[in-house]
Amino acid sequence: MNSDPTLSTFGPELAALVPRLRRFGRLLTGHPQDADDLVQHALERAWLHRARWEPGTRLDSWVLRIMHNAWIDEVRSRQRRAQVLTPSEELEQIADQAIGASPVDAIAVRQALARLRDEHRAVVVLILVDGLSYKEAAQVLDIPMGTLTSRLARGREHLQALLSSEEKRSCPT
Amino acid sequence: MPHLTEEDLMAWADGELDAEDATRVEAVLQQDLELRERGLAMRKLRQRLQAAFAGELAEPAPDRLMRAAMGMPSGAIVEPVPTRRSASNWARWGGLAAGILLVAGSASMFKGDKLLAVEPDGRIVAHGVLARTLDRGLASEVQRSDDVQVHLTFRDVGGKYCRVFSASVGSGLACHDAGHWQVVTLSAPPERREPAGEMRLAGSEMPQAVLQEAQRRIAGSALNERQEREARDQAWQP
Repeated sequence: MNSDPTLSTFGPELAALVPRLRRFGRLLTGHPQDADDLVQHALERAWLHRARWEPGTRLDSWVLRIMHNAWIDEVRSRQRRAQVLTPSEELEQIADQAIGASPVDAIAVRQALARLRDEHRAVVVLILVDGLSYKEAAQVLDIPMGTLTSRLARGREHLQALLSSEEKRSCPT
Repeated sequence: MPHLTEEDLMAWADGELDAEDATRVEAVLQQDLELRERGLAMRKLRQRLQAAFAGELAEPAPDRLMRAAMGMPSGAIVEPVPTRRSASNWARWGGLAAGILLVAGSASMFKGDKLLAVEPDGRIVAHGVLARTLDRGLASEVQRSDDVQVHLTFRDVGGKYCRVFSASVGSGLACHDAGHWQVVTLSAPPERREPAGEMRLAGSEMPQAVLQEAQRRIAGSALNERQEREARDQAWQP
């Protein structure tokens, strides 16, 4: 038996990440079911390759990276999924039932995110939604820092434009 | 700093700059109101995105994902805790969440008694017969029913009661916190990688990892039978 004490906390630490992984998965895939499949796949791979994780480094970045790689593989093998993002039934369902905080805004933001290019969306979600630092996000996505900042700038600009045109439509002055 | 690049501004908005650089950028923003507006808009967008999806973190995760997270084969034992959710949380989750909760609920119904549950914040807590045994059982008693055995009870450095147990899900350490037994360490049975392996773990095979975690947390020595009984009768209040 491996007596490394960090191994015994590996499961609980992974479990604590599940809500974040699911959210990342949903924003990446646009499908709640696909997202959960992706999360499950990533968790299983994390256990399988747990010897490759260095205790003391961030577990979240490591698992997010596994998950993102798995998604890239999935998109490559099943291109059609890349087209399907935030189906309108799902949005209607949210609109019907969501009350409180600012569901309308959440829908607007979700729709705008869905219109970003895949590689811009991944950067925007990791940094602006999940709150990773640029360095962590670059590691997760396995891209150089310069690529990351240029994708973030373009994704952000596009998102801002989509959301402000939305506002102009909904609140004419 | 004579001129700010778009990237400087973005890094400022995202809190990527060290104090010195941030101060420099802010000095420029004091002079250039248009640039300042742009920087603030970037920050606002960031806050807006975080607010839009914050509610999703409170959703209970389905059984199968919690099992996968714990490295357990299918058929093991985790369910979402359906308690203490405020109406506003429900509202934030919206219809999407309701659908997922329904799936999670129906998936856990036909798997018998669960020993572990997952709080919305991701904490793993004892449930079912494991929670009952941790609440009531004594290390000196052999628990004949349901294969849960408490081996050791102690107080941690914060005064909380912690108990080492073994059960069908594996062996672990649970500490009493806010009315729950939070499972701080769980060592899945060694056979977990086999698809349909036998999951029982005898008490004598307590994994090193669990014992080491107990040693790390223990303040003083383990409770004797009398102390354990008293702590139990006072509902494990520290």
